[in-house]
Parts: sequence; structure tokens; C-alpha cells
Amino acid sequence: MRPFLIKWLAAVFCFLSPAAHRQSLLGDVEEDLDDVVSQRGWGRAGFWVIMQLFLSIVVVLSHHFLWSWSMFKNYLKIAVRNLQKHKGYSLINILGLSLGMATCIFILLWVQDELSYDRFHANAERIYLVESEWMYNGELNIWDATPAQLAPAMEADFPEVESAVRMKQRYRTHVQTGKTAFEENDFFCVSPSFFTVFDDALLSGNASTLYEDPFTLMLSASAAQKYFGTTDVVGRVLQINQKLAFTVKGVFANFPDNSHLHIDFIAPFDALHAMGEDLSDWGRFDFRTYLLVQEGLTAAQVNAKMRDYYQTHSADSGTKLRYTPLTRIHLYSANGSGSILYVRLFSLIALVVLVVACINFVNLSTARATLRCREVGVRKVVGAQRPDLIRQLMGESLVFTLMAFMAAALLVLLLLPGFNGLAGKALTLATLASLPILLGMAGIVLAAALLSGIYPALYLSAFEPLKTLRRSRGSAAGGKRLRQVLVVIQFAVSIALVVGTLVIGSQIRYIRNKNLGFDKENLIYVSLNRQSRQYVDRLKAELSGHPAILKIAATDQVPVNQGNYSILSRWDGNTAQKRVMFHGMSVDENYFDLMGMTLVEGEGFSRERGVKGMVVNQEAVRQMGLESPLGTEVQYWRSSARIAGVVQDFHFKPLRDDILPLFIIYEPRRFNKLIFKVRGEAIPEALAAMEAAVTRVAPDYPFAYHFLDDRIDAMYKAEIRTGGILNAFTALIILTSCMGLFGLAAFTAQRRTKEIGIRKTLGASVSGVSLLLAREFIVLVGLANLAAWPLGYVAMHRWLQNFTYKIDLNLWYFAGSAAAALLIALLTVSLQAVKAALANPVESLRLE
Amino acid sequence: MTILSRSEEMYMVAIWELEDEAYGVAIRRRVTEKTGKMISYGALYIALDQLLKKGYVDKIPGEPTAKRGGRKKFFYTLTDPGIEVLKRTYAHQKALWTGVSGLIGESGGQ
Repeated sequence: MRPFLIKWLAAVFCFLSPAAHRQSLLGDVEEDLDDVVSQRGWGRAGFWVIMQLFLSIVVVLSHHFLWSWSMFKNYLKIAVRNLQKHKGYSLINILGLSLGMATCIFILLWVQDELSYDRFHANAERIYLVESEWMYNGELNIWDATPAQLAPAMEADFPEVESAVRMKQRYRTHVQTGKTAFEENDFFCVSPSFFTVFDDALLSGNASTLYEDPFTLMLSASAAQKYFGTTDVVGRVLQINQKLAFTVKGVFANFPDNSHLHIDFIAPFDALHAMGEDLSDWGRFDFRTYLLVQEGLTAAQVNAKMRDYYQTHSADSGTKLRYTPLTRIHLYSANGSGSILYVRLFSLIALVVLVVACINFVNLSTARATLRCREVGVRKVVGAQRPDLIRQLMGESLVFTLMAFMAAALLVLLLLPGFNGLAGKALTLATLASLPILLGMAGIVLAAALLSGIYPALYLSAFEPLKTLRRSRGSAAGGKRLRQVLVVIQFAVSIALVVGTLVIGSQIRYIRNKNLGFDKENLIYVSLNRQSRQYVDRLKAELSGHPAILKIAATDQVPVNQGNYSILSRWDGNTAQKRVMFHGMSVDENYFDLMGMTLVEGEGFSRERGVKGMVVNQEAVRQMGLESPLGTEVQYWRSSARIAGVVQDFHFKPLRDDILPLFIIYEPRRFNKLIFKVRGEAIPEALAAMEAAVTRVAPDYPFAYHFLDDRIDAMYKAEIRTGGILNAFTALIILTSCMGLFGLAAFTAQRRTKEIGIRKTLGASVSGVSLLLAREFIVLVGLANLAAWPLGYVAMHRWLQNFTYKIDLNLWYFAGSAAAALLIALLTVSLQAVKAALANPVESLRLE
Repeated sequence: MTILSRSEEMYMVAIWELEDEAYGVAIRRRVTEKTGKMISYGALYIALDQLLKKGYVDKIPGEPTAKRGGRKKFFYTLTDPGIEVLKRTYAHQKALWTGVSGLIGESGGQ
């Protein structure tokens, strides 16, 4: 914080202070700041700095304005008069800028939120997550899972490691008190160091009491409310997994949204023993490890020093450890939920939007320069210097920008809920009022004022008074080339974005509609719990007669995001010692039929024949290199089976990934889901019947069901969300560009009123004149395509590389975008062109 | 006959009082203590700049110190015209208040 603060201050003071005093001023500030910090701490020092800056700016500004106050009043008056006189242009200018700024502010909010992840821990800079990585088939796999023994071992072996936390997330833990029961995923068993490494916001209770007894718990405030209706719960008891009674020892504040960890229940690590977990196995990667390292170590040093540590405890030489700093987990880690790519992409878009909006301002100002050149001329004749004029014109753009900012702020307030929905965030007014955001917004205003004001100011102030005053009308040719270039840039950006939205849209449609190798329609699955799991057969029997339910099958996994894989290497004839990574699943005899899957060889499971066999997919056969797979004996987990059938490949992973080898066995004890094929028009009846049956056998558990196609869509949430945000931004940019074009077209039409009048008296038709006016802009938009296509192609080609199954980038996306842009531009321009062409030449020629 | 403005007077008095120790931090602190007003560095240096230009104060470079990030200290002293104008201001002020009573007690403006 300190060097940053000083540098920042230095920059501002340098800008403000008379050049002769910079050295001593900066020295003074640094010296004084030291004292303030040592006496009152950094928090107050920050306040002090801001007060200093604020007061300095006020004084310096008023000093500068002291002698030019009357001039300043005049400038302001002229600015307001100009604004009132040309309401249309002003409105377009301000609206366009405010749209651009509103977009910028939204992106700023989003980026700020993404960057703020996990920074609220006091030790955030020193905490690392340990991840394990290994190569498989030439691809790097990274998991945030490590063995349980790693944390204590590293704490003992490395003096750099001040403290190590191990924790285990217990998915689907059944928590109950009285009639209230839920299955919880955010249930963590943590070692005592958790409370010293991470900031805990304990509302009641004491962390040390948690470790006096393994059967104790801490609850988040929301979990306490959920189970007890109050947060005053110390001493109350919760039933865990229906066997163990855990006493509540304390309540902690909910984890904030910008934390990669979300914990509702904290139990001591020792409770895992009681739950029957094996903690000693160095080969079991099932635990999370966080390290608190000594101050001053960089991530590179940590990684270099401890990368190969796993080998000292295991013969497995392929597995390396990697250390991800806490603050980088969300955006940079393979296991994080965010992506730095999108942060960069959206920041870039924010900049582009702002530039496009500023281009409007530049274009309209320079186009209308001729209307103001006489003012400039008169001012110069009366004695204004060029810097005075520049100051005046820059001031004017600042006035415009400030008005636009107010409109933008209003827009942001109005649209914040909608944006939250689109981006999946919970941003509030409080986030808006934080210091970085306020500074960022001030930066946006200044950047916009500068970007949009500097060129018109330099351009206008350079007019020679003699020329501008002698001619009745200034030349319109000035700055025309620049305007054309800027319009091309605006539309190139717009068209490239349209290409992007079209491609992303159709890729999303493609993956949602692609044939996955099974029929996903009207499939509902019910997750079975500890209790109902024992009654799979009874449930199947009870529900199979129901008129709304067509078919029922039991399984332990559903597409489309199956986990649970292992590497198999022992099968008949594997002389080459191949190692193949298999996903494994367990299904019953109805599964293939219900899912509409085809067996290309052999057969599936049947009760009559016994269910000893194994079914593999085609990819497995390919990778194992088997000529005739049927009958091959394969060893898996702790058992073995002969291949009885080969199922056609189907997608059990998101379409980002290839189809991987899969083996399927019949093991009823693993079944934990029932899949139902239901009659499309009788879904409510089917659900009611399922709920009745499941709650009858498992009254203590909540009934949970999902539609398979919803789950499949959920896999593409990130893509769908990005697509949505991009759509919104594209619409905004096109709208802004069109506003500028509209203003320019209106201006051109107005300037050429007489020309049009003469043309019409000489016999030109309305359509001919319209075309004349529109042609200029259509050519520009056409040129913009040339720039936009390669840009769109490269960007989209790269994005599509994320997917194994993807659409082809054909010409239609580009032609479609070009047509859309041309159409929109034509509509915008022709509104003005036709209006001008329809005007009665008598009216236009009577002018002057 | 020129006299000083109130803020010029404030800074010049502080520089006089501080003698050899009159540099930015000290001057600002002294003025703040005396007036109870938060003075910003921006304001201080604009005023010092004006005084320099008018020739009332002089600027003498000192040695750089580590505490200031290696930057030099600059000390300010009153020039002869500066002392002259300060005296004149004081006389003017005294003349102005002589004989005034009843406003802030009997002693009248001390």
C-alpha cells in the first residue's frame, strides 16, 4: 500500500504544484506521511492523504481561476447556450456518452468484484493452496486435492511454512435437528490451524473449544438460522448422518460472496476418524491443503522449493505439487470459478465502448466546427490566446461529460438488478460507493473528457481568425478524413462484436442441441439418500406401474458431468503395459434401453443371465487396442470382469472435452440415483408419484429431483452467461455507433440543403438524392467490414478452440454481420437522407 | 504602501519564528497549530511560490535525508524587503486596532 500511495500522491502533486517546488513538496509530504502513519496508523493516514489532495486541488483550482473567473463565467455561459441552441446534437452527444460510461461503470464493477476475491483475509498474500498435477496422455491435469498427511508433513519439513491447514469437504452430509433435515455440501472438517491462517469472523463461541471433543461443530449464521431459527445456538445439538450427535460450539459470519471457499459447517478434523475416513494413505488425494508461508517469499520461490515434495513420501514420480496464491485461485487456478481471460476481455470491451462513445463526440464537434469558427475568430481578434481557447473547449467537453456521467449514474442505478441477474453477481449500492470504484468512475469521467475534448479543442483553436471571419461559411472539408476513419473504426468494432455474438450464440445452440448419444428428453432423476438407497428395488417395483412413468433405471452417475475415474492397466493381452484412464459407472439392466443407447457389440446386463460382465464404450476399445473386445477380462478397483458388451460412444462429459474411455458395471450397492423416462404431458403426476414413494421409504430426507436436460444446460452456464453479457454490450455499442452516425447524417443533410434544392430543381428524384446522401456512409460501413472480418475471425477461432465439438466458422456469420450493420446504418442514415430529399426546394433555396 | 494579505502574513510570521528550521513540514505544522485550520500542501506551496516571486522570501537548499525518500529539504528565510513589509503590516494592524474597545474586551485586539 505504502509505495503505491506515495507514487500516486507524487503524480497528483506534481501535476498540481508549481514546477519549481516539486522536489521539496514531495519530500515534505513523504516526511509528514511517515509521522502520520506512526502516530495514527495507515487507516487514518489514507484519510489524511485524501484530505490533503482534496484541499490542494480546491486551492490550486481556485488559484488558477482567481484571475480568470469572469472569463470562466463567460465560457460556461457559452457552453450552456450552445447546448440549448443545438438540443438535438447535445442530446445525442450526452446520451451516447452516458451509454458508454454506464457500460464502463458496469464492467468496472464486475472487474473490481472479480479481482476482490479472497483478499479480505489479513494473511491473503501469504496463503497458498496446494494443488496436485500430473500428466496424462500428454495433457496436464490439475486437482485441488492432496493427501491428508501432506499438511502436517510440510509443516514439519519446511521452516518456510508457518502453518498448514488441512480440510475435507464432506459432500451430501445429512444434517438434522428434529424435523428439519437437509443434505449439506458445504460441510468441512478442518484442522485447528484454519482459525489462525484464515480470518474467522466468529460471532459467538471460541475456536479452541472446537478441538476439545471431535463431535463438535461451528455453524455459519445462515445455517444457524436455517436449522434453529436463531443464531443463539451454542450448546444445541445436530444429528450428522443420522448416527452422530454434534454439539454446536459457535457461530461464524457467513463467508462473503467474493470468497472461493463457502463454508456452512466447520467440524474438527478429528471427526473424520469417527466418520471412518482413512487419513494415513499418501495415495488418497481427497483433502485440501493450504499453507501460510513466511513473509517475503514469492510464489515462484515457494513453487521452486516445494514442487517435488510429494516424491519424498511416495514412489509415484509423476505427481508434482503446485502452489497457487490465495488471491489468484479464483481467476488463475484451473479449479477457480472465474477466468482472467474474461476479466481482460471485458476490460478491453469497456475501453472500446468508451472510445466509441468519445468518437461520437469528436465527430460531431469537428463536423460542427464550422458553426463555431466565427466565435473562435472573434475571440482571437479580441485577444484570446490559443491556450485560453483550448481551456474553454476542454472545459466544455468536461461539462458535457459530467452531464453524461450523471445520466450514466442514473442508468447504472436503474439497471443494477438486471446486470446482477445477467452476470450472476450480488452487487449493491455499497459496492458502488467503495473507494476504488469511485476513483475508477472519476477516472472514466476524466478519460472521457480528455479523449473527446482534446482533438476538437486543438482543431478549433487552430483556426486563423482572418480566414474564418472573411468567409461566410467555413470549409466543411476540415477534419473530414478523420471523421471517416473514426466512423470506420466504430463500425469495425461493432461488426466484429456482432460476429462474436453470432458465433457464440450458435455454438451454444449447437452444444445444447447436439446429439449426445442418448435421448435427454423427459428424463428426470431422483437422488437417493442413505435411507432410500436400500430400497431401490422396492421403489422401482412401486413406480413401474404408474401411467405417467414409462421406464425406470438405477445408476450411480448421470451424464453430463461424470467424475470418478481411475487408471486401469491390467486386462487380458495388455502386453504393452498400456495405462488407460477410465471413467467408471454402475447401472442396472434398464439403463441402456431407457437412455436410448445402442450396444454395437455383445449385450447389456440382464438379471436372468447374471450380471457379472462389464460394458465398455467404443473409445475404451480403441484406446485399449482390442481387436475383439468381448470376453476380455479387465481388472478394476478391487475386482475384475469380462467385457460383455460395447456401447456406442455417448457424451458423459461436457462438450468441451473429448469422449473418454468408460466402463460400466452392474453393482447395486453403488446405486444412488433413479432415472425416470416420463410421459411429457404428465410430468406433474409423475413427480407427485415419485415424491410419495420416496418419502414413504425415507421420511427423514428431503425429496430431490432434477431434469437431466437442465443439468446439461447448467454445464454451459459460463458460456451462456458470457454470451448474454456480450449480447448486451454489442447492442450498446451498435446503439452508440448509430447515434453518432445519425448525428453526422443529420449534419451533412443540413449542410447540403442548398445543393439538394438545386439538384431537385434540375430534376433529381427523391430516391436519387437519398442515395447521394446515404452513399458516403454506406461506403464507410463497407470499409469497416474489411477491418472487422479478420478481427472477428481470429478472435472467434481462438474462442472455439475451447471446445472439442464446435461449429465451423463459415462465411455466413460474417456476411450476416455485414448485412446487419449495413442495414442498421442505412436505416439510420436514410431517415435523415429521405427527410432532406423530400424537402421542398423552394424552402431550401429561399434561405439567405 | 504595500502590506501583506492575511495568509501571506500567516506564512511569513511562521517562517520568521522558525528561524533555521523553516521548511515545508514545519511551516505547515506551525500555521496549522496557530490557526487551527487544516492547511494543505497545495495551498502552502502556492503561497510560498507567490512570496518567492514577490521577493519576500528566499529559498535555500538543504541536505537530502532518507526520511524524505532522498529528496532535498528547502529552507525559507525572509529577505530584507520581506522583513520590511512584515513590519509594516504589523504597524498597520496595530494602528488599526489602537483605541478600539468593547469588541473583544478592554485590552482591545491583543
